[in-house]
Amino acid sequence: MQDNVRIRALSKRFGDFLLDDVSFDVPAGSVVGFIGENGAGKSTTIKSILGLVNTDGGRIEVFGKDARLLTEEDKGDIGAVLGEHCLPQDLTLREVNAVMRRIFRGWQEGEFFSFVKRFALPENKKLRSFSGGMRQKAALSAALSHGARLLLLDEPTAGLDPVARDEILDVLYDFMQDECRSVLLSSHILSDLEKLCDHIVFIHGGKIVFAEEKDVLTERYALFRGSAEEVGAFGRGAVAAYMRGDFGMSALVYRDKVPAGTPLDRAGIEDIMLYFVRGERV
Amino acid sequence: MKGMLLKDILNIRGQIAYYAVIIAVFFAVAAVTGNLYFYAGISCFCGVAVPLSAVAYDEKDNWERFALAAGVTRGRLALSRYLLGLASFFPVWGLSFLLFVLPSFRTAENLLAVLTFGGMGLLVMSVVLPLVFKMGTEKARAVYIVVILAVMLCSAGLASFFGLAEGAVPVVAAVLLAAGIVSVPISFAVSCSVYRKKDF
Repeated sequence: MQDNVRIRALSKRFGDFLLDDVSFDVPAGSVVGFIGENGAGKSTTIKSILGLVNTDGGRIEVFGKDARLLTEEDKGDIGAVLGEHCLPQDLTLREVNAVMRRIFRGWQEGEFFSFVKRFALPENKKLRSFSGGMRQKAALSAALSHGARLLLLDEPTAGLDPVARDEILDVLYDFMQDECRSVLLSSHILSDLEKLCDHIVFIHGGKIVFAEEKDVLTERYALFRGSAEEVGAFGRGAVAAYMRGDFGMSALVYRDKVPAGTPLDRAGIEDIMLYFVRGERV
Repeated sequence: MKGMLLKDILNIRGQIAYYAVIIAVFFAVAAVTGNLYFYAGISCFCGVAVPLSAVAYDEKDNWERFALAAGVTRGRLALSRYLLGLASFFPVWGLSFLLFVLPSFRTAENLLAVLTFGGMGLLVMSVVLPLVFKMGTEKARAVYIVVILAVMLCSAGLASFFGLAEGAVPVVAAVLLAAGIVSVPISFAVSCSVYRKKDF
């Protein structure tokens, strides 16, 4: 399968923060969830793909082409939502349409207004009067209205109520009906990512912890709750990380390395992330 | 480029109306008092005031980030600011010549003063815009205020100088106008370099 984005050994220093040796792919036909704490490097990585920051090292390819050499036409194939405020707040959606028509060669006015209608957004009110959710929907409408094959979404569901989040996820499901397309989606709401994503990339302190298919992750890891002795008995190779509690110990373990018949709980993406960030390593 | 300029005009339409009123007042005062310096001085600032307002809106909206993500190059981003500045400056400065309809304004001194202020207007824009891009509108506003004061002092000095040293006036006007014209491409090149190094 062709990769719509390929990142290799990306590095970027911002003062004390270092984005270090970041490598992962966004294959065509897949939704990649990009997870990590605040300040882990998600936004910097997304900005690097879009050429918004000058990277210090590494290589980024988009549609098989060096990201630095992307033309205006190539960029038109990328839809981006970079937070709540990325459209002019003093314009109405009709005015945003008039501006975008002159910026994107492939601007699809009908598509834009169909999204506006679908999200029940007012066309003649200034964006600054919109709620956070409405602004996110407006930004997504714009990102989806110029024939993009790749969506880069930085926290598109942040601060939204479950209904609004569900509406946005529905739109992304529809977008992914074409197998040439991809989405790279950063979010703190891991339940959204579990619903939508095929791959998960986890970044922590500027470094990639893992970049895996979601199903592989949930098959690989499980949660074990028991005593410290029981966890110790699994051996070093079976425990990825553990946490001590008042009533014993819980551990993120490798399913295939613990004895058959051991009572295990399913480890969700949130569990896996928490154990990698807050758990103690063996 | 059209989209960028349209966005700027829509964003700052309120300010444009406000500037239009100020310009009209200054024009009227100049016409009534017969003092061309009153109007020509204010025209100097239009090349900065309008793009400065536009950049302030864009900073608030994170527009530059969006524009770059949409494929607008850093050079075109800088160019759009200069086009907006020039498109604001030239009509306002050009209106100075309308005062020459009145017979009392038709003097060589007034013509040279208008040409001098044309050069100064371009110089002000050339100095301030790269600083706006480098420092952001908040910090650059302080520099802009210093430039305004410097121009006001220069204007006062210029008026006295024009009265005293008539022979040198054409030379000063020509030098300032030429400096203004030459400064714009140099300033644009500096701004492009600032934009190239900038992280958004």
